[in-house]
Amino acid sequence: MPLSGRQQTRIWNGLQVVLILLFTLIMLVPIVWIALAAFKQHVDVYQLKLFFAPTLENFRTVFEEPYSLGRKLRNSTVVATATVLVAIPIATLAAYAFSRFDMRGRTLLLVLILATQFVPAVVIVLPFFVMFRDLGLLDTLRGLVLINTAIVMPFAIWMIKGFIDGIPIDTEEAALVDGSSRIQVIRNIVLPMAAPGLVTASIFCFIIAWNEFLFALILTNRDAVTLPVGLALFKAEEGDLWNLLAAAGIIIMVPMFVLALIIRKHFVQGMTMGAVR
Amino acid sequence: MLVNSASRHSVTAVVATAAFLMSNVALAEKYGLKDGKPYDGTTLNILSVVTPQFDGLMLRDEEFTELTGIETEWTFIPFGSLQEKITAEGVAANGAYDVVNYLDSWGPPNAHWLERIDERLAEDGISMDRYPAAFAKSAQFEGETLGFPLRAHAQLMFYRKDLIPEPPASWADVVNISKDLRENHPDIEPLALYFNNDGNRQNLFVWLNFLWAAGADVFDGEGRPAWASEDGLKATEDYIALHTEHNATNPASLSFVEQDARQSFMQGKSAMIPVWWWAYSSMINPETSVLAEDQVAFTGMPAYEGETVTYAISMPFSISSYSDDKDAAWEFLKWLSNPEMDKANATEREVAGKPIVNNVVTHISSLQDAEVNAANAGIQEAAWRSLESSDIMPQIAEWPEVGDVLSGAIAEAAAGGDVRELMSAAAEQATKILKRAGRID
Amino acid sequence: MRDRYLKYLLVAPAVLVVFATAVWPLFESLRYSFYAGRLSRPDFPQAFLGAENYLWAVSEEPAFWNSVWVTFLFTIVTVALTTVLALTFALLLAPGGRFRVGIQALLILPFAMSPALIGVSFRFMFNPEFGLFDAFFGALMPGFADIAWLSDPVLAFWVVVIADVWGWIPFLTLVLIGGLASIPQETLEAGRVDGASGARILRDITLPQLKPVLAVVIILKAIFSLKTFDLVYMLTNGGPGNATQTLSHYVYFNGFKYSNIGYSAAVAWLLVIPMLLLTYAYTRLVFAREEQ
Repeated sequence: MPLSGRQQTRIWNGLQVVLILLFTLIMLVPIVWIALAAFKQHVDVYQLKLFFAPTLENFRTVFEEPYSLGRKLRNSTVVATATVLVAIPIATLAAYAFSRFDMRGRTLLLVLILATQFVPAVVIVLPFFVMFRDLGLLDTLRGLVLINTAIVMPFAIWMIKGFIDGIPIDTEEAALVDGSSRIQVIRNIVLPMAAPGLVTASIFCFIIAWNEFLFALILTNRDAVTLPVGLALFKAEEGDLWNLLAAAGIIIMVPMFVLALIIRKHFVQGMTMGAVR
Repeated sequence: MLVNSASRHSVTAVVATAAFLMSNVALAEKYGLKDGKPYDGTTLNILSVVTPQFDGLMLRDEEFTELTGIETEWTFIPFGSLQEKITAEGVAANGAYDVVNYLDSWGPPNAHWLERIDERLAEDGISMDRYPAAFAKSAQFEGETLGFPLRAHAQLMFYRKDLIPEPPASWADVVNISKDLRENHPDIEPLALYFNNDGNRQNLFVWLNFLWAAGADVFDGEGRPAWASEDGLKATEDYIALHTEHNATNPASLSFVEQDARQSFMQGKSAMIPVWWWAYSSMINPETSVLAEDQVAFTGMPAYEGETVTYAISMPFSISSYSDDKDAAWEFLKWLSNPEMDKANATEREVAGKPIVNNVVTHISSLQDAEVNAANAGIQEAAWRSLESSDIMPQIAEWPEVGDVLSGAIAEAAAGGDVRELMSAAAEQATKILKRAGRID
Repeated sequence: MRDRYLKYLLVAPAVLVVFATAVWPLFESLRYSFYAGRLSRPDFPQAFLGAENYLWAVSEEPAFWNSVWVTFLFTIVTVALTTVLALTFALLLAPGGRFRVGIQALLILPFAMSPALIGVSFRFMFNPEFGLFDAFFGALMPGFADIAWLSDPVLAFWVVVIADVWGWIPFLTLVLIGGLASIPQETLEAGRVDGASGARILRDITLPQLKPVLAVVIILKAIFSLKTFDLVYMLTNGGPGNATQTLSHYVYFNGFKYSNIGYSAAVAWLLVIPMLLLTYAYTRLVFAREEQ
């Protein structure tokens, strides 16, 4: 007996749910494993135990010397936030211009901007070191913000441009005909519609800045050390202090998660606004 | 009444201060420090690796500041990131750090900005003979001394006393013990080795034992690769055979790096492991190991063909040539490396309220000291015997590159490749590298 | 303000930032590449070598070509896998509803992990003695327990691929969900009203509408795959041998471990130029389609 249309739909839906759950499981198992490790004592970590005597000791240890995660957490937050606040507005203006205007050498310029990110950081870190040294930017948070802005800018421009490209130009043109200035158009029409794109780009840039490692390692000493460099502290001579690493990892991930949750609502809202004309 | 107590107080005060000052003078003399605090007010920046041993030294340096008026600021960098830091310091050339700590194999590429201290040693009557030959050599470059080997290690063979009644004296013994274990204790792997090539050249540590005992060496007198000699090839084959032929090793040794192998031992999954002496304290620590103290024993490295030559490694402290306070830095090094503190750091389990567990000492006097040994189950004595015939890896700037070629060959051989072919190909590649660097022609 | 001037004003800050901070160091290292820049000697850089560093890489150094091949293969495989999987996941999650939206929230987690952290985690999980993955696999297929995942050149490569794809799927899925949501409902409705099947709607309406976003996704992923360093460094350090040594890692090794800055700069530049051409060609393609 062939299945009815409704039955087919049900099976198809059920299959979808199963697939989603499978995918999600694969995505989350490593994280759950780390989360468990963060509460384990060093010995238990290697015993693959699912049930163990949990301890909060690891979280306490990582905030003490020599790890001092608290200060590094603060530095990372400041650097990543400042980077986004500086980079996104600049990138948005440029992305709008690239999207809406013809200009000579536009493609070339876009490509060159992107290409600056092709070179591995390793190659340019030493010239940067020398440059920062001469400018007095070594071991400063603003030096890190400068570097991270440079790193995320090409991606921000490309991502935001991609979103602006997808926004129909009609509304803007109508407003221009009605007498609005270009700036007003950007502020009142484009920005709200591009909001999900801006949000996505902001998160992306925040995460890149948050996780940036090599420059932070070479360009900081004591005051401006960020979390990822701090993570490397757990790769001790004896080997990876896995339980501490996991605890630090949890600390690093939780703010990201909270941030994303908060922003997600705005994300969803923005999407429906964009779809309605 | 009041007058009397006041004068009594002031007398006490004067006497106490005098005693204090005199003891300080005595201390300063003992450490060989200049009197009169000529560098009062200087601040020294110290770059160091993260380790409890150096925590112990840092926590004690109030004493140094009191004696000299020199302030110290320690920056601790984890081992995994230290090399990049040192490289960057060498390029920055701005003396951000006055005293730096590094792995001995990074000495040659950075030697151009590390102060030679031979003259200072002679002036202050300090001799490098106070260290075992291998340790001293590791802090030297082309015959000149770069610094003091504050943290240095000897190899020992650790084994499960409860499963292995007689410690192995030779690698042939190791093979026999492994056979026994496979029969009588099949639930545990016999020997944990580490063949994985992860860029740290760890799989060479035990290989060198075989190579040197066979009378071969890494380079010959002219600096050309010499490990592909007949003796060298045979030694390498015997090293690899532990895994491929005799089945004496934990099969996972192929993917183990040193820390994985140590974990394997500490989790009770392997019964023997040749590794650094500092691993002992974690092996008997219930927070890191499932083993009890009476299950873990150690002995010297096994002999190969009747000979034992072990590999030693160190992390010396040197003065940066870019420092503006080299003389003050020298005062610091003198104090930092003094034998009393070397000993205290391995016997006192607490400094300034912080627990410090460390068994690393580098002075010969400390290695043979009865108290030090008593506090550390006699491991220093065992290490001293291991160090009596030991050597270090070649101290040339191109060693990391050449060493990696070797390390790759060893890893491939252990995975089943032809030992002779691989080692000979490695010798060819190494010759190319050395020629290009202008070290040989 | 006239549009003519405005557009340059809008673009100027971004261009300034990028070129002032990214271009100068790039050309500095280009300069290094022409010298025997060994950090191990006091006078840095040393002798002028002309193109010798470049020639050495291309003709004398099998490790160089190895890293080119590894990077190329890695990039293609990870971009393909990530895009396909992210698209699938996005299509599954886009319809909305509490369940799906809830899952979307969880997706930001793997991406929040730095590649370095992912590298260490996966190295730990794939350890043949106490790794989670090994235990799992061993339980499923007893004959396959204790595989030395990270010591076999081929397997190690695939572990790195899996780790990389795992880290990137969540974010790219979210981007694609955003892209899917911006497809006008009317267009989709029109297709359904016409009686087209789900698969046809996907092929003829959804995918074409998604092209700009997909292009961005693919380019982004390709760039990050090409640059892959942190992950490799933490997971395999280029090993076993140099089976997983990507170009970035090769540059890093020669620069920082062997102190050979001149050579490593040359290697990096050897690949910037073809990369530039590749991007230009690809961009042309994307822009051409847009202008249709």
